[in-house]
Amino acid sequence: MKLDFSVGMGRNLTISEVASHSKSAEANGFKQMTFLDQQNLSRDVYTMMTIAALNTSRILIGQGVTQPFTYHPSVTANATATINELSGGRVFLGIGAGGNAVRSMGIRPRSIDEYRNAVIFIRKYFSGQIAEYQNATMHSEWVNQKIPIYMAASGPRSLQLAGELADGVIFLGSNPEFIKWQKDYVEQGAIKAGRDPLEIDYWARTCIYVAPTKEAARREVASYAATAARNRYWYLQRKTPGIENLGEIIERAQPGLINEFKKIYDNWDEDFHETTDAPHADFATQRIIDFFHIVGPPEEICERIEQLGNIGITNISTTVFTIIDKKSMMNKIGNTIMSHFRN
Amino acid sequence: MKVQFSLGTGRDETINQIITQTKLAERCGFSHITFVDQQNLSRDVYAMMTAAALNTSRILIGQGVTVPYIRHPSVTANATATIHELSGGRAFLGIGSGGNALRSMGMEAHPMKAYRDVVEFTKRFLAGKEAEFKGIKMRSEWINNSIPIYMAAIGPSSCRLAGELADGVIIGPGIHPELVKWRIEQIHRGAENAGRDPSQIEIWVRTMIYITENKQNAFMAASSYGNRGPYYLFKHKNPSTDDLFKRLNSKIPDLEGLISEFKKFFYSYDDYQHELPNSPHSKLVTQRMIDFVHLVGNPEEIQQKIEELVLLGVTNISTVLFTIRNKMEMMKEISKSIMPVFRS
Repeated sequence: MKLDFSVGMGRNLTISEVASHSKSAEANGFKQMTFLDQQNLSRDVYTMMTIAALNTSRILIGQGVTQPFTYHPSVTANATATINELSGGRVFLGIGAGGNAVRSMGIRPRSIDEYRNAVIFIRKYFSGQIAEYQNATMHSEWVNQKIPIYMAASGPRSLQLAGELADGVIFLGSNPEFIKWQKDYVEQGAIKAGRDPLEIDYWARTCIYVAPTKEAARREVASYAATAARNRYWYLQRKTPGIENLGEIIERAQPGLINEFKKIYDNWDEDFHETTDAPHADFATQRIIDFFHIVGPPEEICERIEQLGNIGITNISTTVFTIIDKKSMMNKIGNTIMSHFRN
Repeated sequence: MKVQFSLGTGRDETINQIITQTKLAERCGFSHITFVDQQNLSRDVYAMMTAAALNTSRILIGQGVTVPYIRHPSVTANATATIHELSGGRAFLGIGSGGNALRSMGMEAHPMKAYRDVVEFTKRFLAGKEAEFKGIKMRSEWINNSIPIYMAAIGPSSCRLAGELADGVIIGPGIHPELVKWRIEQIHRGAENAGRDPSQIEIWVRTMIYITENKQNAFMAASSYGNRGPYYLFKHKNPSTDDLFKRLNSKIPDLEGLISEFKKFFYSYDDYQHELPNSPHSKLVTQRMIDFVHLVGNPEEIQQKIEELVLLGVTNISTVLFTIRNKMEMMKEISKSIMPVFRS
């Protein structure tokens, strides 16, 4: 089975650590690397991407992910195109509707229409055409590039939107039933827009932790799993048919799991978002960790990745946010996992 | 007589050209380098600042200037602090009220109160404190820096605001001594009203130095930069600008004629030809407009004008390369024939 691997980082790297971590990602065979855009928590995303571009030669570089709230989309497009030019065409745009970056500022994420408008604007702007956003029209004097757009999506409408517009879609989690539920909506959106769903690159955003036992992985992955569980719980409160159906699917597969999500939601501390040893991470049960992450001995990890490959995932997107020795984990994944998915 | 020289660039350079220019700027003895923030025209300002930081060791690096409102101010502060960390403490934040940039995007300019809110938020956020903007509170998890803030100012209210809040003020366009004197008075008034010592504020004059024996050679470069700004001073009448008009009128023959030339230029401006040589609007520029805005001439003429400005309290001559064709040669020429006179 052939699968690509990507790696997300930038949560708590100082800027002088970015170059060596980028080189390590490239040396270990990751196809893409992404950097967080969370201005209250992490270093500037475009500084990180610039440094990554200057210190690598093959790996593809993008945001993981940005959002159309803290920047005018022309600024986002221009910065992305600048780094694409600098890297010799190795950049993609990773975007979502808001999520944590926006919620941590106490604001609701962008509506689906605004998300759509921002992505359509950026695609036109990349191609050098006149584009319109919130009634202002503009174009770039120098950008005329083909840059792939990857959209993060979690609800039925944003998943369908991604199917309509995106070159790649970033799903959250590693549970096959959950991923399948997400992917079905993307495919519906693609078909409705007259696209072939097979053209789309499907990423499962997770955290791979290679360790002799699941218990040994716990400390460094629980916090990120808690983030995912908290967001998912927040989402499951919406009373729409699609979301209620997801709640039923999860409850049927793993009775009581949603109640475990709720405990994290109730005990959430934003200041420890994706930090190792976050207090709310104590509430992340092994079931929660396994719902979002892929941890344990290499054979078990490979087996779970195969399940994802079987339902059409094309890229396993791991993150090292809360992992203490990030380079060593990238190396272990390169040696013991990626080697099984080269063809 | 001592004055610093800073350099503005980034209008249409690729990142690799920025690296070459920045290294030369440092070798030439410029104290600061600034990069434009114009997302429809130029490469990304933070990619430029990153490339500059990685390739220099002494020169200070900032935006020249950033536009509020196209990024959340927490993003601007975070990016500046990231470059500060990367460069070993060499970043500063250059910010303007964003009028031109917003108008060029078909958006309304924001009132002065918005400029104040952005700068006040930014100062607190950079200091690692909780800061509030548009009713939303936030703070950085990692920043605790003391990064100087330079505010661009054209008219009386922005000069006074900068006097109240800024570590340095970038004034311009306009190098006429009477105008510079008037602007410094406004800045000092703002500082005094806020209980600050005006002598602690750096004063930059933004201009273009173009060294040539024949002013005609400078026309193409000088006619395409900086000539829109002066008309803002006369567009809206208030007691402060009336005072300015009276004072300039006693020094400049046919001031009315000069203002009408700036006005004609102002209303013919094409934003997509902003700072491009040979733009249609630049054909409307006259030599006296250029002399009002730029430092053009042979080294002795330029030195003499700079001396006058330094006597008024200017601490930094901030020259731009944007529309100059041979940028590297001009940097070297400024370094060789102007800077040595102002080292001590």
